Amino acid sequence: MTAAGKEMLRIRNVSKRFELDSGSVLALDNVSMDVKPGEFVSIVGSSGCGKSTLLRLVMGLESCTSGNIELGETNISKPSAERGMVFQESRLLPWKTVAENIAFGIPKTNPKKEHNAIVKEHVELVDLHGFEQALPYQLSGGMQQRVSIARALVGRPNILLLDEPFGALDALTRIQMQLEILRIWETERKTMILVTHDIDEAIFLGDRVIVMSARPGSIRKVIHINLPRPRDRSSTEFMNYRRDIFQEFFGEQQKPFVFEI
Amino acid sequence: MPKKTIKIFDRFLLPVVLPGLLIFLWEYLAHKGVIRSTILPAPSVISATFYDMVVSGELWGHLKTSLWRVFQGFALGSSLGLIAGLLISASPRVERSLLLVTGILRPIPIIAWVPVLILWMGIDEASKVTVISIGTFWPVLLNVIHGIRSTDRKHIEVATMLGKNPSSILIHVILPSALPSIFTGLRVGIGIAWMSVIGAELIAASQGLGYLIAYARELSQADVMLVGVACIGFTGLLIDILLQCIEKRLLYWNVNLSGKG
Ligand SMILES: Nc1ncnc2c1ncn2[C@@H]1O[C@H](COP(=O)(O)OP(=O)(O)O)[C@@H](O)[C@H]1O
Ligand SMILES: [Mg+2]
Repeated sequence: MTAAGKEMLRIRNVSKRFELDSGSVLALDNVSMDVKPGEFVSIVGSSGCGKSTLLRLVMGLESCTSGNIELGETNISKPSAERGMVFQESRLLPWKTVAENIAFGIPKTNPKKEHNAIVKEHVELVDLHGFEQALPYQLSGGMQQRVSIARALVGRPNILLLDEPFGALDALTRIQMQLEILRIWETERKTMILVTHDIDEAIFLGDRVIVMSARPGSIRKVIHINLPRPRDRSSTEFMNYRRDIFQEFFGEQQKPFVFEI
Repeated sequence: MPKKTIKIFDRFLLPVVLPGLLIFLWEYLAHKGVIRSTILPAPSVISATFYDMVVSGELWGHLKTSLWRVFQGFALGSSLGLIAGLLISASPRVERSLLLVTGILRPIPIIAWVPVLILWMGIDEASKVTVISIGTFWPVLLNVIHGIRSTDRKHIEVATMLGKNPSSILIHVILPSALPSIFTGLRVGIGIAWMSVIGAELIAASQGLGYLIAYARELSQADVMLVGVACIGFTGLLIDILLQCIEKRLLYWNVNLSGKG
């Protein structure tokens, strides 16, 4: 891995205000955190608490109102191939085949003659062998999301940002995709930041779960998940983490579980 | 009846049943002398005239002239429409500066241009080709602008995120996404082009289907007139079918067209 791959992501006192005709919205208020190279960080929070905004800032699609985000020594101000992003909607180009969509992610600095090999490698990585020539509308939601992941990875980013990537999938496909992303994380050793509203998903995948609160969006709590992988969703420890996070959202008194562990 | 027979009936026979019955009735009334042959000759008489005109090459001569004018005018008008559409979409300043001019020019019926253009350019080819290109220009322009405006911002964001430059975004994202709309413009445009050529030829020409009809009227040859009219209709239909076929091939990815997915 390159030296850049070992660089720390530093989010320092970041605030983001959106100016609207009807006033302004403080989407993020003084958010700070560090993400170590190769770490898997999950972010959970209710809708509208600024999770997407945070990822878009890290990607460089928006700029901070105050504070700054650094990768190693460099300040993030615009998108770069060293960071890849996957959205909730796969955002595939409907007129391109699977192979063409994946190839669209290859940076122009890459020699043309390597393109085929890179695409082939990533088709294998996301387990889509045989679907290279399919068009997006011919794929299931899960397969579309795999293509989207492959497209984000062909630029060989060190950081992969996932914004509720499995939110639109059915429960079984979602679990399968979680296993896939875990496998990719383990083989590729990328830093991953996953935004999700699924608490199980956050615990199952993350080294840390960051709980955000809304209005204004800020970090409420950071929970380290000290469980070996692959994690057993029905284990007592897993259940305990889950209860802790639920309590962050709903408080002590309103017990979200109808049963006691 | 078995399902398959019904399907073939619905698909191929149903569209010709009504015209067939009408022609049969028409022929019958003409034979009975209910319809005067100087005003509306019997279908059998028209077919005989049609046959003679095809064999003598007269019909093809006129058709060829009209088609060639349409081709030139359509090529010119649609290219200009495409270029103007791109410029207007690219720059709000171009759009604003053209707002009043286009607003005044667009409602002018194409036929109103014919005398003006004859005065400016003479009665030969140039004035006719110009009339056709004006007729083609507007629908192409409006649909190009509409197509480009309706490009999904999320797709453009993905391309930006992947470090694509503006020309690459235009070629890979904006134009393909606008293509269905551009095609609608071309189809409307060619319909108008075909009508404009006949209009221009009716007013002043020495060759072409419009001239054929105008000349036959002076000689009171109702059968020749109707051959001309029918020829215009059939050619228009064929052009539209041809364009539909091209559209289906080019827009293979469009779920709305292919009827799959
Ligand atoms: N481009 C924007 N313009 C104005 N307001 C925005 C914009 N993007 C996000 N917001 C606002 O910022 C807040 C956080 O949004 P977002 O980051 O999308 O939340 P989440 O992803 O956690 O649901 C919301 O109140 C939203 O309305
Ligand atoms: Mg969001």
